[in-house]
Amino acid sequence: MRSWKLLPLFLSHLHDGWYALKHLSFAGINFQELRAILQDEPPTRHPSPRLLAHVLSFLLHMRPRYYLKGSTPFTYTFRLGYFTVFFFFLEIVTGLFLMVYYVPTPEKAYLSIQHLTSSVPLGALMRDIHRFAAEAMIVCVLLHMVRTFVTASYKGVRRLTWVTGVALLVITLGLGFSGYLLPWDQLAYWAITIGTSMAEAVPLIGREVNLILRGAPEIGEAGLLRFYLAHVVLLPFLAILVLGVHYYRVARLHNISLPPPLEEGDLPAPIREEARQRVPFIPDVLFHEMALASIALCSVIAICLFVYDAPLEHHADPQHTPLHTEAPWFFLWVQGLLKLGDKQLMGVWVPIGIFLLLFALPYLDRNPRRLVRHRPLALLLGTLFILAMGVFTYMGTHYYGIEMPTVVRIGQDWAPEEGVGILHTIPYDDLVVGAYFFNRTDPGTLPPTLARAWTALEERINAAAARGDLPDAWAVLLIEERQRDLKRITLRIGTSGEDSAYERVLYIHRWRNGDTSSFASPAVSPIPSSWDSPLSTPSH
Amino acid sequence: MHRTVELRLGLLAVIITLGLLLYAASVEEERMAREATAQQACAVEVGAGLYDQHCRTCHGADGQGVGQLGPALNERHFFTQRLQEVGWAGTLEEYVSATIALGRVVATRPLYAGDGVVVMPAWSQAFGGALRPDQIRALTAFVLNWRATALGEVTLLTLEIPRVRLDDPQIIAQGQEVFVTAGCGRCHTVAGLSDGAIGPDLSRVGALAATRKADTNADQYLRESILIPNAYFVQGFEEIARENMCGGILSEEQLDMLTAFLLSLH
Repeated sequence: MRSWKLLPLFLSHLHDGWYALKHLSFAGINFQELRAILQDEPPTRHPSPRLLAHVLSFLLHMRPRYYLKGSTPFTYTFRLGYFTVFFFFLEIVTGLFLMVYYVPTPEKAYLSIQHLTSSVPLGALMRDIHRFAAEAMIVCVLLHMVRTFVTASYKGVRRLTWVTGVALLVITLGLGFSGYLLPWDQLAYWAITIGTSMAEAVPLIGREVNLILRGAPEIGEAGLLRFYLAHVVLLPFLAILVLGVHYYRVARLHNISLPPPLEEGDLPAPIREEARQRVPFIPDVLFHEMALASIALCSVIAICLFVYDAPLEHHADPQHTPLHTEAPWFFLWVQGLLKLGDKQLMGVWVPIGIFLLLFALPYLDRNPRRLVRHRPLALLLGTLFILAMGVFTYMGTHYYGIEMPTVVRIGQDWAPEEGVGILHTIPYDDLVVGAYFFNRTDPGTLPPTLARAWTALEERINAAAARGDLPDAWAVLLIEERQRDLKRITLRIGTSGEDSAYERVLYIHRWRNGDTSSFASPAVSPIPSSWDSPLSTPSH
Repeated sequence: MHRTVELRLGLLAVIITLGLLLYAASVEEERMAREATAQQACAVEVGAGLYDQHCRTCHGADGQGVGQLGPALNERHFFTQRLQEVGWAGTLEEYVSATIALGRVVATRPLYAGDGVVVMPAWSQAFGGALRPDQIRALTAFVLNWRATALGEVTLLTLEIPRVRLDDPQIIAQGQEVFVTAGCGRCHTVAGLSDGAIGPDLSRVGALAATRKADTNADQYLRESILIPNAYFVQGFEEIARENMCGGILSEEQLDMLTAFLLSLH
C-alpha cells in the first residue's frame, strides 16, 4: 500500500486525539474548568464541576465533603482511626514488596527472609517497616477503641459502627497473629504453637478447629501455607470489606461525633453553633491529613532505620522448645488467663466472652448520655476492664508464675539461646582461651570486659548461695578455640549436693555482628596446673 | 495548628524522608554485606552445636577423624584432594552438604570401614535422617570453616582438658564395670573376671598393647581395637575376628573408662 493512502487514517487519529485532549477531564474537571480555578474565576458551568467532582468521582466520593468544626481538634480524636488506616496502607505497600521475596514453605521461608535482609536492597527496611507498622496498627486500633469508649461515641445511631469496629479489631489481631508465623523462626513457631493450642480445647469440634487452623496435628508445611494465605488474601480482603462499611458509616452516614460537651453540655449557643460549622474536606482536611501522613511516614522510616529491628531468631525447630515460649504480645492476656485455670474455660470461653462483650457493648450500655459525669459506672467498669487486661498481659509473660531454677536463670542471663547475653557482649578477642574457676581465678589477670562478666557471675552465685539457693556452689567457665574465629564457651555450675551440674555451651563467632574489621591475634591465659574437682564432676 | 505551619512541616517531613531514603540507599551495600557475614557466622555457630551432637563420635571432636571410623575433615587432604579423589564435579560445599544429606551406602575409599554395610547414614530428613535442610546448611558452613586450620594458615590455642586420668583407680573400676556390662567377657578372657575364649586373652593386654603395632601407643591401640576390631588382627585370630564382629556401642566416656581398665591389666 502506498503510504499516502494512510494519510486520512492518520488525520482521523489526529482529530480523535485533539478531541480527547479538548474534553480531557479528571473527576469532571476539564481543561477550561482547571483554567478557571487557577485564574480564580467562577465555575464555567452550572452545577459547579467543582462540586460534581466530589459527588461523581469515586475516589473523592469516598471522603465526606466536610467535617464539623467541633469534631476536628487533634486532641479530640488524636486521628487514631486515620493512623490505623495509614498503617494499614503501609502494610499493604510493604507487604506486596515482601510477597515478591517470601516463599511459604518450611524449607524456604526462613531462608527467604535471610535472603531478603542480606541480598535485597532496602529489603531489611521494608521488613522492619512491615513489622513495626503492624504493631503500631494494633496499638492504634486499641487506643481508637478506648477513645471511642471514653467519649461515648458508640451510642445511638453509631452503635453498629462500633460493632464493625470490633470486627476490625478481631481482623487486625488475626492479621497480626497470622503474620507472626511467617518468618518461621523459633519465636514465630512457638508463639503460634502456644496461640493455636487453645483451639484444641474447644468442646466437640476442638480437634477439627485445630486441624483446620494448623492443617495437621502440628504446625508444618500445611499450617504455614494456611497462615500465609490467611495473611495475604483472606484477612486483608475481610479487612477492606469491613473497613468500607465502618468508614462509610463514620464518614457518610453520621459524621465523626461531636465532643460530648458540645452535644449535651451547657455551653453557650454561639460556641455550639461554631462547632457545627463546616470545614471543607478539600483543602482543609485533606492537607492536614497529607501533612500527618508525611510526618508519620518520616517518623516510621527514621525509627526503622535507626532504632527498630524486626526480630529474627534461629530457624524454627519443632524438636526444641525454647526456655520462654510466649504468645505474641497482643495475645499475652490469653496466656495469662490460661495460667489461672482450666484450658477450656480460660482459653476458649473467657476470650470469646470478652469479644462478645465488646461487640454487645453499645446494646448493653443503654444510658443515652455522653458526658463523663453522667456515666460513672460505665467508665469505672471500662477502667477496670483495661486494668484487668493489663494485668492478664503481665501474667502472660514469663515473669509471672514460672518457676525457674537459679542456675537456669543465670545461664539464661549469661548465655541465652536467643538474643544477646552477657557473654555475647564481650569483644571476641577479650574471650581469652582458658579455664576459670569460681572464687579461684583472679579477675585482675583478665581483660576488663571478661573480668567484669566473671566478677558479676561470682557475685550472682555468691548471692544465691547466701540466700540458700545454691549451697556450696562451684562454677567453671571454659573458653576454647574451636576453629578460626570460633570459640566455644562452656559454663558449668553445680552444687556439692547434686551429682549433675548445669551446663550451657555457647558458640561465638568473631563476626556474629557482621563486623569484619577486627583482626587481632588472640591471647592465652595461663592454665591452672591443677585439674581437680569441678572438671571431673560428671555433667548431664 | 495553623494550616501553613502544618503544610511546611509536612513538606519538611517529605524532604527528610527523601534524605533518609537516600542515606539508607547509600549505606545499603555495606549493610547487606554485614548482614550476610553475620548470617554466615550464625550458621557456623549453629553448625558447631550440631557437629557436637551428631558428628563428633565418628569424625572426632576437632574433625581429626576417628581411626577408620570416620575420615578427618580438619586436614589439608580433605580441602585440597578430596574432590578429585572421588571425582566430584561441583564445589566442596556442595560435596559436603550432599554427603551429609545422602550419607554413604558404601565406602568410597578402601581405607575406611564399611564392608558392605552403610558407612555414613543419610542425615537429611528427606531420606530418613534427623536433620532439616537449614541444619545441613549450618553443618556444611561449620565443616568448611576448618579450611584455615586444615591448610595450616592458623594454629589454634588448645586448652588441654583431660576428660579422665587413665591411671585413676576410680576410672579403672568403672572401666571394669563397663567391661562386664558391655559383654566383653563373652569373647575375651581376663584372669579372675571372665573366661571367654573366642577372642585373644586380655589378662596382660596393658603390657602388650604398646608392642602390637608400630607407631601406635598402648592407649591409641586399645581405642582403635575397640572402635574398629578388624583394624589389626592378633596372630591366630584373623578368621575369628572377621566372623565375630563386636557390635557393642560405647559412649565416649565409657570408651575412656574401658581403655583405662584394659591399660591397667599387666
